[in-house]
Amino acid sequence: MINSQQNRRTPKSYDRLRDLFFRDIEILLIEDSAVDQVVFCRYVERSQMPFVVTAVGSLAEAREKLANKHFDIIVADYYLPDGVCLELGIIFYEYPVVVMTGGGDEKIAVGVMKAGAKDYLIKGTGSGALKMLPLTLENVLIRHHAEREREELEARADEMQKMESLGRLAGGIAHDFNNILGSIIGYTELAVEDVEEDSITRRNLQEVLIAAQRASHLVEQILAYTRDSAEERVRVDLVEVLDEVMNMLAHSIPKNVEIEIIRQVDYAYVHGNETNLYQVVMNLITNGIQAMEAEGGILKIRMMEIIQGRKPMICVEISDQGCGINRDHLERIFEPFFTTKAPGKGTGMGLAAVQGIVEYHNGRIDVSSQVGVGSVFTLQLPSDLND
Amino acid sequence: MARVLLVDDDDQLRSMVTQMLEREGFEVTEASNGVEGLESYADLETDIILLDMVMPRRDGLMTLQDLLASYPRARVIAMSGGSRGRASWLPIAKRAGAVGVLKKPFTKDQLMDSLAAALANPWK
Ligand SMILES: Nc1ncnc2c1ncn2[C@@H]1O[C@H](COP(=O)(O)OP(=O)(O)OP(=O)(O)O)[C@@H](O)[C@H]1O
Ligand SMILES: [Mg+2]
Repeated sequence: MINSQQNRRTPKSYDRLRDLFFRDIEILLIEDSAVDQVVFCRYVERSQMPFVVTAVGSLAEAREKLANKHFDIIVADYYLPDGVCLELGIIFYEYPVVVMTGGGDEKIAVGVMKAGAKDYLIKGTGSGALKMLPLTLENVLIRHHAEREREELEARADEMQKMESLGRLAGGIAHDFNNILGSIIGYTELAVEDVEEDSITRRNLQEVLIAAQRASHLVEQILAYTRDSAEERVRVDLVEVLDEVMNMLAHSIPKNVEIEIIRQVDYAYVHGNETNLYQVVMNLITNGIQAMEAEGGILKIRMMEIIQGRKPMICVEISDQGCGINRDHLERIFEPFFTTKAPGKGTGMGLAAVQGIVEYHNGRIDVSSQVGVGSVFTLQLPSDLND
Repeated sequence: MARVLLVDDDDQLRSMVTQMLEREGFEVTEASNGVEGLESYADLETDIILLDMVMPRRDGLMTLQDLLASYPRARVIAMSGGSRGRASWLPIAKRAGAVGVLKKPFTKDQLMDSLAAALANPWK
């Protein structure tokens, strides 16, 4: 009777976990008693759930394992040869932890729960708690997953709020700020005219100009990222936008970088804000060129029309043979102010602006990259179907 | 040489633009708000008006509209460094009849280019 009930539950649980994980679930068992390890593994096996157990006998071994491998959940005996499991320190809070205690140790159980454990199990004969093991693990995993999701949502909402206020601030000061920059640039240019051709003063004034242009560029990127939705939109031909960008860049492309443009369309009409779309193409191409600065290579720009879920989209693929982007960075490149470039070289607002603008135009931007091989950025924007 | 009416409420920026223009031989008259700008234009009917879009009192757009209502052939170049909380002014100024736009901050070359283009505009 009990068996058949368990069997009916098992496939369902399996589904719930599989929906969340799409793979086997890695358990790290920290248990110094060999017998208890065996018992634990038997219960896990019997559950027919997609669990894989790695067992270690001490905190030191656990730390070592955790440093080299990802685990989904930790099950730890309270007392271990080299301390109590709470001494795992930060690990205790980063992972969902289920603590096992001997019978009669309920006080300890309450303590570990207060310290952040997700659940506890009483082991020892007769308690029957280990029978609950699979169910406990399943519940903890699902709860942990939900908590993480909520944390992520909150963090994203926070981020959006921050950017919104940054946008409002930027919009509010853009006018005054650009007036100020206008004066800096203008007066410096006037001064440049008055000093001798190859004097140090002239070179220094030229540096002031470069700095002011950088400041102006930064304001523009921030404004683009925090899109003002009242911005004017018209029919824009991305072929023309690309031509303009290439014209603008013509003199600054390093000798070791070759540009190859493959246009599979004559026109690429989208509906949008021309200045912003120019910024998108400019930022993506600039990044590609900068990535190849050291070793050189070919920057390929392919423009085509594709059908995405019945909708025609203009697709611009920009692939470089540059340094590539490692996994950790790949997650962060669209963050405002994330940059790996030297101070003064990059604002880190380039891709943030790209993403802001692309979202505002109902498009998408994807990236794939391999360190040492190169990166591909794929921009898709809905075709403008009006004639 | 061409005469320019420069309307901008930022004193520092205004005298900088005046210097640039005078060095290139333009004759410049300054105004620091829309009302003054309209009065000066009525007197002088300069060849070009450089008009800031964001100003206190009579703002750029209202000034532009009034100007073109009385003087349809006036050549106005609209200048703006961004919104102050509203949509960008420059496309709006173009629709309202400005012959050219200048995004702040601008360089001397950009200023001269836009003046040349505006003066060459045959439609006015
Ligand atoms: N094509 C690319 N190849 C390698 N890394 C890239 C590429 N594009 C972006 N990155 C990485 O993403 C980071 C963020 O790019 P983003 O364009 O937002 O800012 P940035 O290029 O550093 O600064 P800015 O755009 O202001 O010059 C870069 O610093 C770089 O590490
Ligand atoms: Mg960049």
